[in-house]
Amino acid sequence: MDRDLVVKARGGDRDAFARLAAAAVTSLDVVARMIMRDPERDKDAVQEALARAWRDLPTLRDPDRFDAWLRRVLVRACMDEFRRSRSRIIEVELTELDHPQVIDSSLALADRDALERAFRRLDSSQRSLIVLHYYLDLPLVEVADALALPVGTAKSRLFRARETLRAALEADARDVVEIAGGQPA
Amino acid sequence: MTARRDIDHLIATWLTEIAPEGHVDYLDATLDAIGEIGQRPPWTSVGRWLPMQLPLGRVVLPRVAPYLAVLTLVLILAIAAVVITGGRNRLPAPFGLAETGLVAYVSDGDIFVTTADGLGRRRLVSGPGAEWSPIWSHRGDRIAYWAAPALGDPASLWLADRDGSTANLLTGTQTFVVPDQLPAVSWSPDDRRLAFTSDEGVLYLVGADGRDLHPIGDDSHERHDAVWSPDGTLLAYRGRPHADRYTTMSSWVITPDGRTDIEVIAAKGGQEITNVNPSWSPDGTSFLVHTGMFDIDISEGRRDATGAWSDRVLIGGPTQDFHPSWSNAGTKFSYIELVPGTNPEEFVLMTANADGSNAKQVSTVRVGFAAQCWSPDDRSIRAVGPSRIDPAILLIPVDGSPVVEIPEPGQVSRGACAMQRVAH
Repeated sequence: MDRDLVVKARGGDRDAFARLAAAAVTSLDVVARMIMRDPERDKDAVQEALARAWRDLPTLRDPDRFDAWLRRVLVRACMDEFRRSRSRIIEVELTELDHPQVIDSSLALADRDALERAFRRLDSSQRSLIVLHYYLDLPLVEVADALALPVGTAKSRLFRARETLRAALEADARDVVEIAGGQPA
Repeated sequence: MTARRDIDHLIATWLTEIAPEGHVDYLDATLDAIGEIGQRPPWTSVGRWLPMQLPLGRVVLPRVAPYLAVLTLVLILAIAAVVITGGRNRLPAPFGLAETGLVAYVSDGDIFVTTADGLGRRRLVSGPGAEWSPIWSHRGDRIAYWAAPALGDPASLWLADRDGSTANLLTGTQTFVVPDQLPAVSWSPDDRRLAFTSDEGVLYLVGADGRDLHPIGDDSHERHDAVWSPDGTLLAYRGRPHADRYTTMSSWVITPDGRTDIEVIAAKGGQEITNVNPSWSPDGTSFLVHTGMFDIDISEGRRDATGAWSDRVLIGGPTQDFHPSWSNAGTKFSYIELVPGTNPEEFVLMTANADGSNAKQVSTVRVGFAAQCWSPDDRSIRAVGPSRIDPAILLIPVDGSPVVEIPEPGQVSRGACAMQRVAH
């Protein structure tokens, strides 16, 4: 992140903002796709996040915090997009992005499917927590910052989301045992 | 077996495997669209609206001189309050001094109360999770608050007696995502009902006995920050279209039965934090909000004898003015005005006549970005200090007398002091 570009963009320099956006948009898109699990809605969320970032950039006090701030704007946009679409009936398009062909996966197919199904049952806040913590490998303090949550709240929500995923895997494992052996584990 | 495997490793591995290839083909179109959007001035940061989270548990004792001054002021105002509340000219709800004379605030997930001089701090409500948004009833005999396993979780609305006892759950098995900044509840003038809005923008009413919880209004738009009018016939709120991409806000009023819903002050485009926290005049014919985006104005929504609404700008021009607050008598209102060139931004307290004339600065003392409230006798105005590191309540006399500064224990409530019945 180029601090000078942030300062210029904060002062209204659109070219500087365009360069910042170009540098960040790919990673924003990836994170949004993983949170939303829907290619159309993730695009809307990223576009919304960039629009908000431009509009609100003058309110950013510390230019060095740009990356974390932008992440927070993106997460907020994802959650808003998630909420907006919650009342709509979404026909999920299972594209290549949703189920990439994993040739050398270290996970069993059943585990991947169980995680996918359980992840889709999480709310937007829990999905964001999981992606930020486990994929971006952010410490809990930064995850909490991105979601504008107290650290304790972020921790408890992450724990619950993690337990949801664990329960899905356990249930899946029980099903496998039942089918294979005819008796519950 | 799966259950015994390292769940953290599994999740991380799965996420890595499903991570899509980075390819974005919509950046140019996005930047073109952004070309139509202006930037917000820095002081419109939403963060300035939120109650400040301080290191909690710190009890700040006032210095001796201010302490004596406060005691004197408290005594004088207490006598005045007794005269006011006991006389014929008793101020109509929701104005006036609560019987408890206590300020409620949140600290460390529990609700505390203190007198306005910062003394007598004690825990009022404590639970296993988080409690927030304590709002006294108009009579001050009960206090409403939200509670959840953790701040930000779906929450339940509770009601307790003034001493924190006899807590009753009002919302039953239903939970709601509600703001964790104040105000999150508004009492009806007769204290029989409460109004609140969920994060999804649904306006609910519930009886103070926990009965008749129901939403009001149709599904045409979101509703936030509802505040009862003093006569109980309307609720003013901040409206927002469902499909609005840029969170444009306008001011609305709705009858408690939800049948009449009127947009009073239309959005002027792109505002995210305007038209919030409406301040009703004592006679209920008018409410004030701040509006606009760059040159923030003080606007009034007013209804005539036929019930027709109109709006007008009371304080306009190039200045940036925020947080209007009616005096108890309804003859003046206060607001804060940005001091140009200050960084971090600071504000001065202003007052004006009811028609917007005679706008003047009350004191040279700088104040923070927050709502104000008037003392019951309208002789002083409660504001907050400009520092977020050492927050304080400022009691600013309108006659130019010295300002009293009270270090504030715990958390600063910047959004709803009018709801807190601050006792002077």
